[in-house]
Amino acid sequence: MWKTITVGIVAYSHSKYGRLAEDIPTLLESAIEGAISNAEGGIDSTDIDLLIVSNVDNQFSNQHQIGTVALRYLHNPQAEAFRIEVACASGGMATYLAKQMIESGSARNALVVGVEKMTHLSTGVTTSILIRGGAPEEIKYGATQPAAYGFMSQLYMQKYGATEDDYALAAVKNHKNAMKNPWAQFHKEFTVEAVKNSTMIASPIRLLHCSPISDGATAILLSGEPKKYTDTPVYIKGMGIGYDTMGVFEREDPTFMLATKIASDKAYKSAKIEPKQVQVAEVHDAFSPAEIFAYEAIGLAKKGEGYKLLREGRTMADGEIPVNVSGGLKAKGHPIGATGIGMIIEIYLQLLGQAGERQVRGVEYGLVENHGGTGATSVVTVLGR
Amino acid sequence: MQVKLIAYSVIEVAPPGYQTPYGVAIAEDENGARHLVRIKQDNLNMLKTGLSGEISREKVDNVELEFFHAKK
Repeated sequence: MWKTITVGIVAYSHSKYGRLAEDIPTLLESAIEGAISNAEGGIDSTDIDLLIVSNVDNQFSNQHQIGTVALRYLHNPQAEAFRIEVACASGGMATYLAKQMIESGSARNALVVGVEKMTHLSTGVTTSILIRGGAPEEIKYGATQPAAYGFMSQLYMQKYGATEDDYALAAVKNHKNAMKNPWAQFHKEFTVEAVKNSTMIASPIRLLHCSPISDGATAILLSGEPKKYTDTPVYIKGMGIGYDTMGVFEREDPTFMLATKIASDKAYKSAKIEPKQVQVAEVHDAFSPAEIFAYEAIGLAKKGEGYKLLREGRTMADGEIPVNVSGGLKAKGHPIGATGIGMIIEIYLQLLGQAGERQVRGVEYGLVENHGGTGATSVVTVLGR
Repeated sequence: MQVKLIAYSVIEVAPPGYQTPYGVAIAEDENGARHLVRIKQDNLNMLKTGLSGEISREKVDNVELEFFHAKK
């Protein structure tokens, strides 16, 4: 007889983000052992039959078969293990796949591990790797990720009357939030003027609109029988993935993140909730304007009105719908393969009431929006108790 | 081919091998088709959306690219 499975998160581990001394195998080992030991009711490695590693670029890690490397630290050779890559959305997609495999009966318990090591490379080399997240034409023409986001940001300002101050506000807010996050790469606040006067990277995108180059590792343990391992599971209430064209230039409306809209519609539908029921969200602010685009795509604001949420302070940590209380990618950091899982961990902790100084009161539902490239792939997750 | 710029970006931080600054843009032709283009270096200081110009094809490191240059 068919049994409905609701997948829950039962344990996690999270490294600090920033410049880390540890190499990839060591980060994997710490993340895996950390998550296993975090399981409140204990879990034996032999009960974990699936291990998915989210890792974006082997030029960062200098290691192939990274899923099999990770298996070494799980100490269960019977488990299935592999790596997944969908640019910045890798962590969300790895979680989605693990959830689907548990729901289908292909796995019982899955460890989803994200890892990236980036800071040993120069900014130029990192830029040459990150450009691969764009369309083939963008790569050919040297349209870097900041430039592609620059197109979107310029078009959005022209179409809706947003200003560079609005983009700066997202960065200012997230740096302020990161002050309360011990895992954050940056513990430094900036003013709107400082953001607007920071070094130009690819107009109109400036240095202080950009998430940093980061190292880090994260892990979550998913289970189809979460109550077996903890009295306080957090459930994946809904999840969706969506796609758009790879190139910004190909999109009918380059100012709207269609993939995120598709993914969030699916996530809300499966969670049986409306956007207004979300009480805290982590969105993918790889570049600050993207936070505003995400507000609109996940339904927190109408098209063309996302920037008003920032102007009115409604997404501040003490606002009506706090967004990126972790500091976001902008200030918490963006070790790409680890990022999507780290975002889920933030909402998991918010739902458990364990987010420390960042805790938002009375959270019943939280949302994570994790997208790849300029939003060609998007994964949206609704979590709840 | 006649086009208008609908968005552009001048890149200051680039992968190794690129001479900065250089410009990339989305240009729209008379049929409404969009083209990703590079911008002629001597046009970088005159960029604005809506700027009219033409596209020509040039080889850069043996790769053929479309370049935008403003009408004189």
